[in-house]
Amino acid sequence: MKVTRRDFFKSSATLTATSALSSCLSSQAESIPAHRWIDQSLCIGCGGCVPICPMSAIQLNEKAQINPEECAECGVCYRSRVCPKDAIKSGRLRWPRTLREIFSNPLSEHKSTGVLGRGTEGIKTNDSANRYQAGFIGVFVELGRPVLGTRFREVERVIKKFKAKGYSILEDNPVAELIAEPETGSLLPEVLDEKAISALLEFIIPESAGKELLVILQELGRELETVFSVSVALRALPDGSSPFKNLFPSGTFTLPNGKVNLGFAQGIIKRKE
Amino acid sequence: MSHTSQRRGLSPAEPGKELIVLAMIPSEYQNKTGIGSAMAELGVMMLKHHPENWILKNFTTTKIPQLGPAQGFLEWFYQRSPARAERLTIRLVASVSTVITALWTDKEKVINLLNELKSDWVANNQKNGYPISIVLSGLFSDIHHCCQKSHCQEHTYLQSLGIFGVAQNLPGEKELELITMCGHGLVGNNYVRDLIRKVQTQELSPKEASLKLAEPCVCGIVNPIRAEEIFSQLAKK
Repeated sequence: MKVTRRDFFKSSATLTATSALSSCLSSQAESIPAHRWIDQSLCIGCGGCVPICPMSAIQLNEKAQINPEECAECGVCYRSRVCPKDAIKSGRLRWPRTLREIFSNPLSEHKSTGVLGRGTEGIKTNDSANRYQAGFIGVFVELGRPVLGTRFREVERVIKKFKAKGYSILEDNPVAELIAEPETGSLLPEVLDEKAISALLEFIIPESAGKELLVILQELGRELETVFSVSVALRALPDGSSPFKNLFPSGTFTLPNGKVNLGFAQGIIKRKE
Repeated sequence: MSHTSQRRGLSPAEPGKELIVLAMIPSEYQNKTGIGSAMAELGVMMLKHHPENWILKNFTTTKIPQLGPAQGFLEWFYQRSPARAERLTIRLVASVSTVITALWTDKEKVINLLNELKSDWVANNQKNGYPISIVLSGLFSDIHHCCQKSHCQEHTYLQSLGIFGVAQNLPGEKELELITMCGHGLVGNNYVRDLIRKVQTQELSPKEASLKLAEPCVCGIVNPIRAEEIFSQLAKK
């Protein structure tokens, strides 16, 4: 039987919430909340956990509590060992909430990609994979980052916008398996309100579409209710320099820093150029 | 994982302040016999060149599902020698992971690492069919300098086009410089503001705050040296 990535996402309540697994086996399994939680009988109300949450989902009244609507299940509060009483507990996550952990906790591996984190291998293995080739621009749209986080409703709007322009999300991107209607880019309705620290979408467009890309991004910037960071993957010119200046109008924003694959794995895997 | 392309605050006017080396195996090669040993060997070489931070450095007592039974040994070892356990982590993680990372604040050390890799390690990978890619993240001018000095050439770039959307809801640029040091977004605005407040009230020194900042970042790519400088600047405000 073929197991799709969507099957994985749906079944990952037991696969990814590893620390909850042993608890599930106990007789108290039914009483475990379906989200990360703070055991009120252990919490001493010191407030040490409040600032560590990247989504500002922990509030302190007399005791600290996690707001499940805002929690992205990233696990930072749990891993930080900030609680002196070990009161921060893993929940028994169920679909579609499992998506939060898969997209927000970098120690949760996407079984669809085999990659830790929320994306694919991107440029990191491009010297062996030839994913981004000369003549094309790889486009990475990371919603929710920095700081604000994103609902999958916003993710859907980006996919639909690119789809309307003729560009589909790459099939091995973890988000692709959440698409219910490939012709429009609509996502499964039950995932739309789920929240993640970020979700990374990848597209490949022809190198002649640089200006069009900037227009799409400006339009999305006016339409979305969160932020998104954008990067482009570009094959180096034969002399090793970047073709960025040739593909985008002068004055286009970029940073003086970024990532560069050095080509050490070139030729080890025989793949088509 | 496009995150290190979005780090804020680096300037060609101040070269050499930060370089991240990242190694990655295509996921379908993760279980190829011997490739984990090649990654572990790389982890050892990385440590030999004295990085300031590295993957899971701060997580020696945290459950890391990928480590399996080695987790217990790591925790036992940490009780006896925390500093050595931090260094053991990268070797254990490298052997089971598709990715390892380390951060330097000295270009010469990175050049030395690249030259060491090119002397034998890359050739062995070619011979054994291990497609382990090496990626540098930092100023493009610094990366080009490293390439020239280690006789290699840029293959693929990842460059930022910036931040779009409701950017008016974001904190100030200096805070963003700290927040974007963790590309998975695990360092939040509240945490940064709390650390700045503690530095301003002298509850923490800038150095202590920089080490605290690095704690949530599992990849070990927060730059504690640059963070200390930023906390010092913010504390004066």
